[in-house]
Amino acid sequence: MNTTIIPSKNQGSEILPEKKKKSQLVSIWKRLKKNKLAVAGLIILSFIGLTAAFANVLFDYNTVVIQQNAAERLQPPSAKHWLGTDELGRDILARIVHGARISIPIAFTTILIATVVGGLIGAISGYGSKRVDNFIMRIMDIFLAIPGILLSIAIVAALGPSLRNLLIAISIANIPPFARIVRASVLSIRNEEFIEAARAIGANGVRIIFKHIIPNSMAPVIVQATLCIAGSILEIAALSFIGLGIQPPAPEWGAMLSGGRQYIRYAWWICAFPGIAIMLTILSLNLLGDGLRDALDPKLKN
Amino acid sequence: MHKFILRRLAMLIPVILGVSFIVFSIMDLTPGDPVEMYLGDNYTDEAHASMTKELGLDKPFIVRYLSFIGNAIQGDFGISYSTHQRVLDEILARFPNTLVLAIAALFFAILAGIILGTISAAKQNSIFDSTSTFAALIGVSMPNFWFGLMLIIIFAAGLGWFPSSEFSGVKSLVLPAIALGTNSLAIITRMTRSSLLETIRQDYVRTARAKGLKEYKVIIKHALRNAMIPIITISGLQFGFLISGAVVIETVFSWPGIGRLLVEAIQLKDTPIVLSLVVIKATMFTVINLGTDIMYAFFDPRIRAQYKAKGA
Repeated sequence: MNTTIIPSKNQGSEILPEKKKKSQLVSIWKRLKKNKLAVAGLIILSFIGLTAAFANVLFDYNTVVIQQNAAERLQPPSAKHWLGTDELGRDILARIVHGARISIPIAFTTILIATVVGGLIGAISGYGSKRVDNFIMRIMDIFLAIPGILLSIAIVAALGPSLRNLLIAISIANIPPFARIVRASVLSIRNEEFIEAARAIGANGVRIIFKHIIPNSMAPVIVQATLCIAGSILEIAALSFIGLGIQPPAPEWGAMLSGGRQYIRYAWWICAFPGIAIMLTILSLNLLGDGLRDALDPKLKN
Repeated sequence: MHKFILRRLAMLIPVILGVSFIVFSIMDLTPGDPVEMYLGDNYTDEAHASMTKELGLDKPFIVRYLSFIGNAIQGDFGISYSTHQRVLDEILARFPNTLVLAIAALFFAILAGIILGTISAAKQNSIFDSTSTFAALIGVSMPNFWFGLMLIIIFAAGLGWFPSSEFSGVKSLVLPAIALGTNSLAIITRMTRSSLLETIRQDYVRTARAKGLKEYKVIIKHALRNAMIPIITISGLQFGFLISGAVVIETVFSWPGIGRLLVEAIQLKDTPIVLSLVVIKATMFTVINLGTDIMYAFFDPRIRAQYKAKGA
């Protein structure tokens, strides 16, 4: 009898979660689709992503984006240069398109690091003993007491401006909110019955954290990550603007604003368009993040 | 109530110590020889050695940290590498400018934010509501330093209504305050709208309407007053950001505040100023947040009553 029941049970438990996962994703997607603003955000974001992916096809990096061309400096927008040229005669549209290849991957990487590190810290804090929890959260409180941009500035100022240090600075500044969110959701699910069941069948702490707690606290993390990527793009631009981020001649958006600053009296387009690119990217991420929040957790709406 | 405030004040101490420890450790990682930066290019080995001793750099890390804290409590933040002035004097000379700018920006953000948010909520789903909601979305998505540049292009370079960077009188305050306050304006507008939408559905608002009060009176006296607590909280938090986070906007407008001082000091590798500024800014941020918390308790009779009932 045993032999007939156990395999069928196993089969069932193998298929069921996958089915459930799929239907969950479908229903999330259905809810997200209804939110017009979120869809708009997703479309803008896909467009930015696609132009960034094919940037090298559209504009050659060495000859168009980096090479200076004195004959064409400070040209206003025209048919040849849609968004004009900068103080060194480089096409602004080409630089903006290539700029997305800098800001977006860096922002994703910083938030990925922050999510993983912050998530682990939060999971340990929420799942661990009260003393561990207290200790970790007090340290997080200290980090939260420093405004993110100020902490990033301090770190880059100390380590020196470079891509690596920029990554470190923005990642560290973004860890505490993730630790907090994961901890909160761990605390809310750690006493659920399925955790108790896992413990009853002898799963250890690490397995419970990775297999049960983290997957079940993903929703708020995804939302937070989307919104934090937007914040990270802003921080990259701000740090580059004050000379602590990506260094010229790389076409980073904030660095472009900084370079064009001196010329705003005669050439508004140098500063106007890179800022619009930053704004559109952040706006679409914010729209998508808000939409995801509503779609992932309908209870939170309104 | 006093106990509540005292307890919160006591919690400040570990936070400030922790912040200063983190920042001090970060700054200690700075490559380069501080003595060389202090002395400039021409110095003898003897001068180098004596300066190392004078700056206390021959001592171990933890001793230097403790003496930094000890001196900081007494208002001694060291000597600037670049100007050789006392760091505290340098900061105090610039601080009023930052304070004025932050207050102006906050005033603009609260005033406009509450007005826009209230009209949006009162006329929910109208064209005004969707326009202001969308504008608020753009407002939170916009880099404020870029917005500052745009304001300069339009109102200073183009129309010539305001100076772009000269530091003179009220007129020079207008553009930086708007640029700095716009993010907060958007956040306060959203908060006002959602908080007001919640109170508008309450029974006491229906009662107020039922007894025949004019609509504006219902909104302002009954709904808005009860919706104020989250608005006050968010405004307080925004003030913390405005005063401590406004680094870039001061650079855009060449505003001689502590944010600009920080950027200058970073470029000159003037570690004492950078260190002190970050610690002071983080402390201000924490204190303002604490003040907001206390105010929050003070404004909400329910929370006040809670503490009274507990005898705290």
